[in-house]
Amino acid sequence: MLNKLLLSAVFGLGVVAAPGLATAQINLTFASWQFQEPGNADWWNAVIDAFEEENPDISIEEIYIPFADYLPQMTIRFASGRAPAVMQLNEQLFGSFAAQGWLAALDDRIEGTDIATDWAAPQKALTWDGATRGVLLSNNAYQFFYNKDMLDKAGLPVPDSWESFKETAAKMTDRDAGIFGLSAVTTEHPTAVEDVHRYAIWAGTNLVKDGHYNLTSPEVIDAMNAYRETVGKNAPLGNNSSVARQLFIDGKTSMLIDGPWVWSWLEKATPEMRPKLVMGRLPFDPQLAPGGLIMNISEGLDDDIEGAAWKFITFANSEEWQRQYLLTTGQPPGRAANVLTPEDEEAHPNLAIASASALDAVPLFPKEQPIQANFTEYSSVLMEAALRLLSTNDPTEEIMEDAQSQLERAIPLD
Amino acid sequence: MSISSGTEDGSHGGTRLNFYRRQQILSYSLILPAALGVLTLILYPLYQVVDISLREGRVMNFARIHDLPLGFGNYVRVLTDPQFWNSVLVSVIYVGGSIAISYAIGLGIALLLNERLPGNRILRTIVLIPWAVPGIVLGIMFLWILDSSYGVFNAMLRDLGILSADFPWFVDRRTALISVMVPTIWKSYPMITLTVLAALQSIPRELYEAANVDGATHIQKFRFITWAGIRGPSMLVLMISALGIFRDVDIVFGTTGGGPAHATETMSLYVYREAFNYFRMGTATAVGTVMIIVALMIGAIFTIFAQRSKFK
Repeated sequence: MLNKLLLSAVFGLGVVAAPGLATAQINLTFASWQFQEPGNADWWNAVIDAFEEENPDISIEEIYIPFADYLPQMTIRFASGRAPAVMQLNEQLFGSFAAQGWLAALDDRIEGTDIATDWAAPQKALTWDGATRGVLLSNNAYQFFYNKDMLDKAGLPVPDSWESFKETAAKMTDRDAGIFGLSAVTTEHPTAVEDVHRYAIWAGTNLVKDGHYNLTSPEVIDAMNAYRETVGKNAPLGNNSSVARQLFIDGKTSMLIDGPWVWSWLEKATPEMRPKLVMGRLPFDPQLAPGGLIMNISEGLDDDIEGAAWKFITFANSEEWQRQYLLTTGQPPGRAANVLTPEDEEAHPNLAIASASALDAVPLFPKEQPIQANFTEYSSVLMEAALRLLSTNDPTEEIMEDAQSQLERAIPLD
Repeated sequence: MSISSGTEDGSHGGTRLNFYRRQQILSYSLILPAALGVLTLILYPLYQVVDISLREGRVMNFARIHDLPLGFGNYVRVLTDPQFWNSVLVSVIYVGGSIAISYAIGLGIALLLNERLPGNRILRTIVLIPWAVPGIVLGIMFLWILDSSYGVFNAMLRDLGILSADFPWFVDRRTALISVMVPTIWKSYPMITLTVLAALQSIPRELYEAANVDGATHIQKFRFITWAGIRGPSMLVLMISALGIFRDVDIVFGTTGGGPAHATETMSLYVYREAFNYFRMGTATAVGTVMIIVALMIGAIFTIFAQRSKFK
């Protein structure tokens, strides 16, 4: 009788435990702002489906957070112990997250893989406190977009230098007719900060030089005057990046400097407008990289979950999926070598242009660790300066002195 | 035989008092769990906010908050930050201006709707629409209406010949704050209208008839009957609206993000920026604590005014 009871108990336990064993799953939470973006979402869904099929013991739980809310939402998640296992960041957010101790060190996992040897230069910058804490998923550089028809009608050639670019912008502008030489971001928006850096670098200087803020140097003042003159007078004011792009594809502005993803906007232009819109390599050097997207793992995960997270990252960054990434999203991947086949290049010449300029590009933003750790504050101070340059008559010297003293107080570099 | 309601020594009365006392104790014990729940929900977060505001250093993991030392460093940092004082000034103009204009519009419409005009019921429903639109949606809506390139407002002004070129309403420092106040006013006036209208309808008609007999002027009738009747409810709705505008972040966030160059950065937005852009929870909660005190002061001022509002 006792034996029968024990047998029943063992059998009963087996029935209860068996389904649990059969479905021992690792649930991998993955946060991104791209799950609803056309192109990016298509690629992510395809990668996740393929990964789950190849790894039936791992399921990916997508956590969608709109980009505008990404920083606050992730801050709340980390602060309250509900951080996702894997997350997508852009290079500009990397330092802020790494400085909080939120990102796991990946050197042991990267060692011996092609990430250690075959990745583009920005991969080397994804280190914090002596450890690599991210894998570069994309590596973008700015492209030059222009309306060939508008330039032809004005009898102007396509600019081939920094100086001719500024002159063309001025000559193309007829504000009262609603025609502008340039599309640019001219409102409270992070892209305005990119513009300030671009104008400094293309003028042959930089906002941070030899480990010190350089905002009050005569070279930077000249560069900011050029920004004020070129953008302030030749681009409509009050535009965010979406409106700036829309104005270009509507034929209201003749030039735009933006990322390679604007190609998909060109494809949406009307049939009459589409042949007039051209994307090419920037006609002056250096080519500039504002920072690509990266994939990271949260600090402090269980070994099983961290292992699964790494498996997912390497899967998404395999050569074939990176090729698909470029074909689907139009953004060059983190791999240094060209991932396109000759047939791909023939079918998509824009992708070849974007890939080549990304490989030649130098970083747009300074890499000093205090700036990276406080990038949003750094960015905020410069955004204020950019908006003052565009919307007030305050002297440029005064604006840049204010910005420099704010930065020295808030984010000292020494 | 006489019927007595109690004993001669009053002991029956004592029994009745005991009965009321028991009832009172029962009442309190019935509401006690709910009262404790409400107090916990209010006091515990309040304690957390004050506690974090007194912790020196960045608080990014609430589980480790008590490892940080106590002090007033966050308050010193906030009170010596020119951006904080800028946000105070912006808040005063934004809340004060929005509430004053909202009240003027709300009062005007309420007086109109109080008259026996055809279609009044439909008008009352229409008036409510802005109140039902979420703040962030409203912000985006007005961002498009006032957009410099595609906005209908600029197009209208150009058609009328008032503007020769498009004007960036949210980018120009002279117009940014006023532009942000427009959607705020649009959202705030319906509640004021409805509250004032309800108050107007509760004023006895006989008072006006008596005033007419006495030969009172329109101004005297408004001052001594209408205003006396609506003052209390007005103060209440003004207090609720002012506190709502003071703490809300969504309309400013959705239109200017606090720009250009902090020209529209309210105290709420300052808190948001400190907490979620700069990871400085300590200074953010310090400003939050200051805001709670300011909110209590706003509440007290309106309550004092409301208490003086009874008909005399």
